[in-house]
Amino acid sequence: MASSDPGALALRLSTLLVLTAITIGLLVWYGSHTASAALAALPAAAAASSASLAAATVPGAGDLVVLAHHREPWEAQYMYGVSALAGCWVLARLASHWRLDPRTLALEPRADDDTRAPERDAPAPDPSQPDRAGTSDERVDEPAPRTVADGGLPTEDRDA
Amino acid sequence: MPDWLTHVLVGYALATALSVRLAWLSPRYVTLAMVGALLPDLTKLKLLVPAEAVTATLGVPFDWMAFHTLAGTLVAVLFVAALVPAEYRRRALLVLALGATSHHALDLLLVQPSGLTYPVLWPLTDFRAPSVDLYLSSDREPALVAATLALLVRYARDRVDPAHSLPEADASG
Repeated sequence: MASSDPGALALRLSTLLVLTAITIGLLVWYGSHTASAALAALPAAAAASSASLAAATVPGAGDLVVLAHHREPWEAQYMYGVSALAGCWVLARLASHWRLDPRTLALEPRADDDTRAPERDAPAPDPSQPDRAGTSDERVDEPAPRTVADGGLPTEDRDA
Repeated sequence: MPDWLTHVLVGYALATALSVRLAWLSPRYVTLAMVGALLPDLTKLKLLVPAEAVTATLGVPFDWMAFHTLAGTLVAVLFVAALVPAEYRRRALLVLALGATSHHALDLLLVQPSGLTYPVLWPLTDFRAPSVDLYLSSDREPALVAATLALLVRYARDRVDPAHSLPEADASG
């Protein structure tokens, strides 16, 4: 599991802050970059399209034409409905396999859910412990997962 | 975009198929692949906070669509990977990237009213490939095909590696 080492936490925080700053920069950069490019591309794009389109002229926008597909209300409801379902599925799986440790800001894996091979990126296990070969340090030969008291989860949370 | 169900099912199917050959690719990594399959659609944050509102507030141009490009998706993948403990990070990065790549692959097949796809490789290039116009985002067929594919892959995986089906037999999987 992730270390509670203050250095590791500081490094993770710094990384997340840098990535957040880069993200904001990208969002602003893209916003300034694409506005004119999109307008310039519209006439050629409209000519290239072979799909059935509904076109409407934007009042006051001169030759600017907005292209869009007609979509029945129930189609939009279907799209958002199944998307919400998928979002819930992913969230449920995420909560079942990972947990966010607020102390370390780390997405910690819950108890190992695969007995076939080490899951970590680490190389082969210590050869001085041959009885643990081929298993990571949290394998099924260590049946007792961490407890709530030490920051882990009760046994019944294992791969719910 | 196709609906999220299609994206998630394709991410699941791809990661599950790879798990046959990659012993480390357990259900928890399959889950990360599914998360990766949704990351480019962080652009949908525009439904909660319109870009125009951000522009009006901050006084600078702003567009959530940056998430739906190479750079934005890469940063989002790195962000999630940075949350994962170091010993799991490299593999997490791989499956997150797998899911995100599958997202763009599916979106590039969409019907585009403009006849052109989006600049997926931005900021390397603004090139927009001609659209394939295979399906609309509200079509039901992509989800049906993806669900069939996911079921077939899972069935095949369980046949090849029955042991894997035991831990995978969770309520959410």
